Amino acid sequence: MTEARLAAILDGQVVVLDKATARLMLMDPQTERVWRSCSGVTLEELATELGGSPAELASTLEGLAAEGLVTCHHDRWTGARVAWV
Amino acid sequence: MLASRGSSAKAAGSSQVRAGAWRINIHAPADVTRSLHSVLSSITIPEHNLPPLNVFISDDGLVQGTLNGKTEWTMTLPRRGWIGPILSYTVATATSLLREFHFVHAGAVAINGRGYVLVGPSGAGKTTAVAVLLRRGATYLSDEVALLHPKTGTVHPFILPMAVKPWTAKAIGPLPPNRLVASDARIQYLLPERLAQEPVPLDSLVLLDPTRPATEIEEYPRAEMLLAISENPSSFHYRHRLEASFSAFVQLIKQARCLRVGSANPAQAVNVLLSR
Repeated sequence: MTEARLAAILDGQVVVLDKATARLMLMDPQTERVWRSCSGVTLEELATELGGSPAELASTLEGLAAEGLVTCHHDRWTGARVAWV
Repeated sequence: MLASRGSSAKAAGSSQVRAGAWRINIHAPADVTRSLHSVLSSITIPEHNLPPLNVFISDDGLVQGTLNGKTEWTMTLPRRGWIGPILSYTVATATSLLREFHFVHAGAVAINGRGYVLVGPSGAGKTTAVAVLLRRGATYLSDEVALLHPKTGTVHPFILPMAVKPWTAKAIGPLPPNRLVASDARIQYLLPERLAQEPVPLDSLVLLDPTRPATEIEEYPRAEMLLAISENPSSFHYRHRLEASFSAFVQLIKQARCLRVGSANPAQAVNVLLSR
């Protein structure tokens, strides 16, 4: 399966290219931590792993979901696959 | 030049232009052909095996650009200021054909054999900064198109005449040594004397920021520079080159120094850049 996104790390910052929209997205470190932890986990599990309030995490996840970078099935969050450059 | 547009048919001219490795065929009224030949023959595009561009201009100012017999663009020329649009379309055609190189809309010069690429929004002072750098001893690579080779990490000459508007000339002050190629609607098309003949290693990507004072210079995050490049006309804007462009610019940016310079006064920004 071909990944719909390419990603690169520049000076520790993750930049993602969404090939469908031809848009670049720059992740702040906090968002990146959340995104990288989305391996089929629930919001509660994320809050336990990363700390922080569930409300803040939920907001970050919604932002990531709006960009197609995470998906949620049965309350479990999974990060979209990317190909690293 | 086209002031007599719509008048009775004039003598037709045709001319073949060598723009570096690229061929452009002009079919136009004789007087237009002469001026256009002068401008387009000062272009140098290094990529080989590009199909020739045919430019047809009718007596009444209709222009058609074709590649391999297929119409790529058409336009109606204004009565004044007609060189700029034709030059823009010609350059856009060339950049759309690139395979080996990647590009970004930017000024580019060589300083002590190292390439400096000046990125910035329209009005950021790219042309002024390039001209002042040339006056201070830099070598000209381009005023519009920074041509980059990701594998070698080099900037290549994409020579175009500099389009110097009256207010730009005022901001530049004394012009660097140049040859006047054409003049149209108060815009001077100047070809600098000191042209780069060879590619140079990329040293710096410089974002000119006209919202900041020209005394400010700082290291700029590479990720932010990648975003800035993608927001400018560049290889990113061609869907078929999207992934290759992402990889290429990531590779190039990793090797380069990235700076942001306030360019509220572009000539002063050059001083700050050169003192770095």
